[in-house]
Amino acid sequence: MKETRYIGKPARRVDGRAKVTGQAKFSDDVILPRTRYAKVLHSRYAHAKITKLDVSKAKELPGVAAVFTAKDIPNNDKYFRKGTMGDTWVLAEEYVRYIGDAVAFVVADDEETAEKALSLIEAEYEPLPPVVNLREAKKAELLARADREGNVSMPLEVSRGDVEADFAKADVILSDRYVFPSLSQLHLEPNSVTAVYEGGKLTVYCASQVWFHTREDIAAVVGLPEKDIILRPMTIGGAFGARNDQPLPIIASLLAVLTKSTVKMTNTRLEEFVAARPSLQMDIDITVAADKEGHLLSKKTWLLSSHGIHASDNDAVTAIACLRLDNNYKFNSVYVDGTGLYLNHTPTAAYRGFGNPQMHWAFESMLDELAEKLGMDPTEIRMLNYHEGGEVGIHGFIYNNCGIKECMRRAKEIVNWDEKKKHKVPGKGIGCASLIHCSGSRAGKPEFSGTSAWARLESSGAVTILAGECEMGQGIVNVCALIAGEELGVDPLSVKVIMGDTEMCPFSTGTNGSKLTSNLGNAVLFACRDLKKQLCDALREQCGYGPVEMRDGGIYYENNGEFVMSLEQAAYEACCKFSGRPFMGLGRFNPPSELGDRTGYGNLAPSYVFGVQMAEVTVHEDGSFTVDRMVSVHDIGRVIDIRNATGQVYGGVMQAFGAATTESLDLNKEGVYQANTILEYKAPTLLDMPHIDVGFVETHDQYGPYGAKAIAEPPIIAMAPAIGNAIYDAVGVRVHEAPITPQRLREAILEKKKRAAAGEEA
Amino acid sequence: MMDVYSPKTLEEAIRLLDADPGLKVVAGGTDLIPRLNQRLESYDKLCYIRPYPETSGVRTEEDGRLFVGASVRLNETAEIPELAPYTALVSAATHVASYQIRNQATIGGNILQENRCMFFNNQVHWSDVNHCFKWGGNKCYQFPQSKVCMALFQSDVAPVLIAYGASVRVRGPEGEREIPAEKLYNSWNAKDPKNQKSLAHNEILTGILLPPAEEVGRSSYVRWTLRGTFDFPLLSCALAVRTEGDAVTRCGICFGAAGIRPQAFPAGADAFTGLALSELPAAAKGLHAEAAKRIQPFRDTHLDGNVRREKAGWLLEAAVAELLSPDNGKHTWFRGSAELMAPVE
Amino acid sequence: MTRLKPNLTEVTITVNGEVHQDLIPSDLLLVDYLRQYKALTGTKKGCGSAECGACTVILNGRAVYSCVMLAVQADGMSVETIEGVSDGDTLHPIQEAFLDAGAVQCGYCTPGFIMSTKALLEKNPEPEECEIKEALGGNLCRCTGYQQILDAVHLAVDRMKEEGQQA
Repeated sequence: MKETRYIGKPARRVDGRAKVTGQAKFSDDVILPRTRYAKVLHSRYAHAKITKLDVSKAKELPGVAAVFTAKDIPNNDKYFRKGTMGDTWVLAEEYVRYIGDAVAFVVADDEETAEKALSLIEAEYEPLPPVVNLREAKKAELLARADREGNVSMPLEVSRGDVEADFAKADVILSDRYVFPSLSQLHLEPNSVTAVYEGGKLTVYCASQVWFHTREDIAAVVGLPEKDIILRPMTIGGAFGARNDQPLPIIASLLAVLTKSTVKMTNTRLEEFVAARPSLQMDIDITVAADKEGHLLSKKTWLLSSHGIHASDNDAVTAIACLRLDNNYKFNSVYVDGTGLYLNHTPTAAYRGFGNPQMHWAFESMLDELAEKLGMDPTEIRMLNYHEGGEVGIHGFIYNNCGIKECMRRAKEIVNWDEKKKHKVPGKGIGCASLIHCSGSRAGKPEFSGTSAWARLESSGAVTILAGECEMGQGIVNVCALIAGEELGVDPLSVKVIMGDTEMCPFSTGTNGSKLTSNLGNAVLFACRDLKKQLCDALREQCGYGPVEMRDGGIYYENNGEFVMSLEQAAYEACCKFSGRPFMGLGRFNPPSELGDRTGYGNLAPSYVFGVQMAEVTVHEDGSFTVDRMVSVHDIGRVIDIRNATGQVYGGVMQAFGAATTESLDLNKEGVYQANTILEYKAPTLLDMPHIDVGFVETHDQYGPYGAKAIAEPPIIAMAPAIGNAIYDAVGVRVHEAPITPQRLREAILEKKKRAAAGEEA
Repeated sequence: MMDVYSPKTLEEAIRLLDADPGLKVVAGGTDLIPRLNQRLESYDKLCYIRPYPETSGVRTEEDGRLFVGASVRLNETAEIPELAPYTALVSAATHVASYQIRNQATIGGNILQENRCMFFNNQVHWSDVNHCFKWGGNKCYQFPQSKVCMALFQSDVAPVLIAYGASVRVRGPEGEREIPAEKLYNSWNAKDPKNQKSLAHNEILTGILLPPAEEVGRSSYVRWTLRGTFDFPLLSCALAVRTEGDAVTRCGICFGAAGIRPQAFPAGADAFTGLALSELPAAAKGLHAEAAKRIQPFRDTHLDGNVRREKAGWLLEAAVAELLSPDNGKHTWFRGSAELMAPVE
Repeated sequence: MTRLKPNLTEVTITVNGEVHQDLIPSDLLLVDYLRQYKALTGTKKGCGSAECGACTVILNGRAVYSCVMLAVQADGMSVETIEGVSDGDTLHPIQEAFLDAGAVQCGYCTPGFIMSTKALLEKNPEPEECEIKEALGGNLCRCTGYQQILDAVHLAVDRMKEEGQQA
């Protein structure tokens, strides 16, 4: 492995200084002159028919610029993917279908006036029963939407291999059911947008993971061509999948166009809970078949997922939940019947892991059940069924490398697994789970693959990377800067990285699919190499220096290594020689990967990432438990930014810990999430976090830049079942529905005692 | 838009309150202002009462009782030497909510805080869903048969005061009066739904009167929460024990977040009286059933109604263990029954 | 453009060392006074209900949530925000430590954490681990899992001790 100067070494973030000084501008920090403020009138019920909607008094309030209802929105049905899903809306028309549903928009001189105007809107409703439960939704005795027959938003059925034959020859068949809650990504920065409309042109200051998709979404609703819409990326306070699709940028843009002015909107925290895009709840039944040695033969899965009331990227989440995990083990055959369902709550969407955490909760728990049945150690059954590099997963994942066995070995070592299993301490337990995810997923538009980047050298010697994806805290700006620094021989902190400005950056399908380090990283690498070549060619030929190379912030003669001039001097000279021509290195990376066929089969990414996560717990009779330690070991290919990669693992693990212990968006029977404040949602605090050990296995991927693969999503994927498995190891009890609250665990413990007393087998 | 008055003296504040029944008092703001921001409540006029000389500081009164000004901030209690012997009080005050809240919240405000319930506090304010009594509706969603609001009183400091046998001093246009701590809290009253406390609208709490430390004896406080900070107690227990020789001569036990008012536990206090300190743990073990009776069932986002009843006995045991521990005050956060129970086999 | 008539009140607040005298609506929140009236947008509004800590500022030496305080409650007092921590050129050791420990990801919670850290170290330059956790517990982070933030505080403590520096 070539020695690197910056790659893999501790480095400050290029965007760090702005953040620690408070200079970084987030969307709500945008202050423009003559800004109007808009507010949404939300529905009074989770499901109702609108019987009266009179906005006249609101319109008359001094300071109100306009009030809009559905009839004022010509493209009301064009929201999200240009309305092609056929089930979306911007403003409710005849029915309101979730508590956050938008009934009217008010635009006013200031926030207080806008709010006062909301109270003057006369809206009356005829309440209807809301559909709030997955099994209920499946039965379809009640409809979440009167305009649909049944509550199925997306059916999915996939069969691979001969499932019945495999079940027939199985030695062990086990069935169980697991439920994973809907979660709030809870990015700390609420959505905020300032949209400026003037003379047919729209400029939008906002956050988005998918700048160009958002531009398309806005264009479809406001009726302007995309080339007249510019998105200016603000610093983003976390996203975790939530900002793949958010209504606010579309609404603010629409209101700016309709009122021909500058309109600002900022969500309250309550709106973030009930009117944004939380993750999908999933109710999963699994039956698994194995032979007596522990080989996984086959599996049947029935999955119900909550899509909320209309399309978002929930369809992709359900599909990934149904299929992805299967690739991690050597199944002969699998069958899955997945149903995405309409319920009367806000549309659901992606959360880090994109459906994988939900399925891992179910199957990684089942795998431990199977191990117990067979008298095998949980790590043993996994090692037996893991793939290796060169193999192909059951749904078509081609593993050019696979470090999962090494991850398992490393994790076991860190936690001293064998010792702990041999000498069990009452009340204490240890559990593990493993994970698979894509690195560079071919997600998004069928007509688009790969990604591109520019590396620009300006006359002053300043280096700028331009890319169309999104920096949302995960640190891709720094990966880009480190790669640029490494390739160009400049200090990474001197590299400017501009991401997502739709006016100047390359087109992209955004930050999702764990595809930035692997794909964008390569595009940046190639762009830098192209830039170096362009500059050196120019210096050699047109400037007459002969063969030169670019390194260490300067230009050097190739033959004797002597210094020629600084990069700043070279940039200026070359620029002048070429009449000011910019030196734009262009990089493109279009890896081998494909969108799945209609059965979901295909090599979705150039490479895949794997990991093993473990937890140690102490459990008490009253159902309380503490997680004493967590271990997360990842096949990362190659570490580029060690500080941030470590931070990504800590953060993802914390989110999984939250899902396992306290977090849950439960819908009550009126269609309202009761835990709709941070206080009641109970996101983990500093005082809740146990120690986390991080391990990186470097498998040196053949495709990734410097051999790197993804790290951002994996840490959230398997820690919840690892905790569940640890609790089982401690007290022989399982809670099938996350989060494992003290009450649920207590009930499970009492249930077990009752059964033991009645002489039944546990 | 609200008018906020900032009277410069306590007298002026009382005059303003006396003149205007629609004026709402705010001191630290950490109880009221979140609800205003969340649009759970609104007022036309607020009266900001700053720390006045009469409500500030700590001083020993002539009768030996310790006066603690209502404006004393919760975190300050840990820095006041005179309060050091009152372990339960300092434990309670320094574990409320989060650090920043405790830097701003007043001790007076903590014991006068608004009762809480998820149906009210987690209301979707623009909706018609779950409009309960507290919200101006005509139903209680915790107890559908109830004719009154059953929102829980969740102050950490209040149960300690009751366990201590403390009182509070209030001042109105007519002068000052004292109220024993347990008499400060009332049932919900449809005619005066915004006030479940015994203060008249034109009265301001000036401070707390603690019995002399020797009278109170040793004390401990434990609170049960899921998270290590921010959370209100799901249930809490304050314990005060005075001994002569080794025998308990006075005992006060009070559960917090146990009902619409703090719930004293006289049966438990009686059971402890006369025992040696070393006998308390075993005695507490035998009080689970009795303790559970003091607890009002109450649904929460993470617990069903009866779960907290079961916890009362465990919390009492934890309070006893804490009281007897040389590190009394270091384990206020009750997470489970670690040292108390055998782990499940 | 018409405006509702506010009840205006005078406040004198020292903001990052500068005395400001302003006529403000009496119900203006401290966080809005800072963000809108002083254009100091480094202090953030994550929740509006004292549940996240993004709005933390230092008021007369105490870390408080500016989103649940009225500006009038700060009358006559001194407020420090994130913008006052460095001099525009040289970073404070706490800021340097946050950068070096990898404690910054999306950056939204960062100003609040830095203010909580500064308030702590000003009172207590060599805090115990439990004192650090207590003082920073009121700040939520969704990105870092907190570990590197704690590392940053330890790093700041060590460096400031070495340089003989006051917070």
